[in-house]
Amino acid sequence: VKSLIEEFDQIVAPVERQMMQTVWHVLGNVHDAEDALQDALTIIVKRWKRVAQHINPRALIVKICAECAYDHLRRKLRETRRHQRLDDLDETSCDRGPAEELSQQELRLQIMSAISKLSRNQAVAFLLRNIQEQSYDDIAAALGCSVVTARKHVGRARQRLSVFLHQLAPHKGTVP
Amino acid sequence: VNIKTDDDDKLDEIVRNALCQPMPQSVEHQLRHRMENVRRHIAEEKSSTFPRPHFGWRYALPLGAAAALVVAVLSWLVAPRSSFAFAEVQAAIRKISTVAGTVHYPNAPQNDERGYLSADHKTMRAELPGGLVIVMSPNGQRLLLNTREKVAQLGPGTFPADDDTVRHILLELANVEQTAVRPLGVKETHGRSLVGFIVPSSQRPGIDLRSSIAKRMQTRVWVDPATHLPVMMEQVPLDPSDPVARVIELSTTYALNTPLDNSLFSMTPPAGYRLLKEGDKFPLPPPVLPKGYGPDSLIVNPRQGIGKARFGMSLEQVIEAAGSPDWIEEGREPTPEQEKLMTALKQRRPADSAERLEIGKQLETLYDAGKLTSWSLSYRSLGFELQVNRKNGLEGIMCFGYADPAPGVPAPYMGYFAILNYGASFGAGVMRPFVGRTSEGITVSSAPDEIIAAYGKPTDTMAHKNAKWFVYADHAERERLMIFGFVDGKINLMHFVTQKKER
Repeated sequence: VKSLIEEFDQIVAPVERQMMQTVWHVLGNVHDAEDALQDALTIIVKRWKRVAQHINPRALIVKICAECAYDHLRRKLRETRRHQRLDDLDETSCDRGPAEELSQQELRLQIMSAISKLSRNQAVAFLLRNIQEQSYDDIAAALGCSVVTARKHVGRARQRLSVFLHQLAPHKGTVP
Repeated sequence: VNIKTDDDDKLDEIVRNALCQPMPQSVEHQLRHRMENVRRHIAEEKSSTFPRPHFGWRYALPLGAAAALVVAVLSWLVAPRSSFAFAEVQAAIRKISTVAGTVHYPNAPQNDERGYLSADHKTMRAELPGGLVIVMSPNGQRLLLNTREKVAQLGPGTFPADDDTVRHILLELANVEQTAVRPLGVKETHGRSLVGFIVPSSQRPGIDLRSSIAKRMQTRVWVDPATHLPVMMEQVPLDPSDPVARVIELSTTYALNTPLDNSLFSMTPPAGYRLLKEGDKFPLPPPVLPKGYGPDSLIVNPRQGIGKARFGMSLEQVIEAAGSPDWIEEGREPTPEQEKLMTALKQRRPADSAERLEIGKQLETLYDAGKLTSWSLSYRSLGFELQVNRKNGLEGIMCFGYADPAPGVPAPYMGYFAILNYGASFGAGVMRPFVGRTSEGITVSSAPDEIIAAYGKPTDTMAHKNAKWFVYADHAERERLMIFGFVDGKINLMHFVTQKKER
């Protein structure tokens, strides 16, 4: 048992913070982040042998966290749409004024909504690239695809996000 | 806030700025606590319960069920179905005129036979194995032909009642409840597409099988979709491994409403045939021996058995050794309560035929409810019967002689043939006197003196009117009996019995 714990600590401990950040950044809500992290850990523990033998176990672990966060995000948005309540989505209040806070929340909501419409691989690749700033090699290893494919996932995610965001805010003009 | 951009880097920056907010200490603390819980859980688990990769067995059931569902749906979509109802088959059956049919016994092909019914449904012809032909007319005459020896004999013969004709079997189909009939799909045979229906045994009251066996059979009717007339009727066991039901398995191939030559139904012997006088002994053609029978297959050793079939063998072993019998019956033993009920039913005097039928049904039900104790395997075309006890195995061999008629002994060459429904009722094969002999050379033609010469003086002798019996008892370790029965000085029965001695 000890060796298993050691193995777990050895592989998971270095990416603990990345795991927490991933779920937090995507969901922005402590309860959702907790649930997503729990789901991710459950998957990791259940598939431990596969995780431990993976060519890049840390990238895989972060990818699992991103997937769980993405799943929670979609579920949350679906439920929110059903209940027409968007007000409790975000808890990322910082030291901003009320007006800035409102617009920041609106932007975040729109981006989260747009990300939730991406395919799973595109969303995960995009999140790993942008939130965790992972290399394409790591993303490819985590997704189990080639680097070219990983780049394509990220590129297509960007394209689609751009389109979604255009549709979401057509009246806002273009970033200079 | 402006989120509209075509610049990838700008987009990344917008997304990063929107999502990557610093994690508050409280959130980090809670998430770390969650991770620590998981870690503790792993530490407390024994190595045996530490999750190991498995091959997705939890998905096996849902996936299996889904696959089965897909297969069922596809089968349903792809399966050819009858484009007409069984009612149309029944309407066509009611209008049949001529019948020509071939009966095939898959487990005893030596008994395969052909039969014909004239357009007026009054004359029938059966062509039996070995070259025996029987033509029966409605005026009580029967023409027997031995096509091998070119011998004919005209004599009195009972035309089977309408209930027993092949037409009746088909009419029986015309009267079954449509709701009980199930479609069976389509099969290709001899370049033709036939549409199948399953008729439950309960819907065939005319079939006189002992109900306990009939319940284990299924009738399949295959119909020509163009004419809606049956082309084939199969009687198959529900359980292909059921040795009893397999004995009465048969399939009849029909050609209905086809023109038949009048000569088939002529009561005049064909040219070149020697006509025997009524009362002369008609030479039955020799039997067609079952596959695997050799020179010793029909030799009875009173201490061992007959052919390869040995005393003590189980039912399956006996059928394996002696071949599939022409007919089989199950022997059942009622409990004292059932016996009492049966006696009471037998003593009742039915007021009408309906009550008689009802009593018969109740008796049959009581009989079927009894405990299965034995089987009688009739090899009537070879002239013998084997008695198999469920506990002791093969324990009796009965060889029949030529005395006709004699009490308890079936008359020979009655001309039972399946095409007249007898096959379904009583099995296949023409009754013959025993065609074999004992290991001491005794046949059904032997005289009493020859038996005494072979086996010595009988232990006991009995006589009644023109009948006489020699009984040889062996009271050694096993109870053995040999009984030779005579009528008018000729053997009509040889019975060899072995039983475990009661202690």
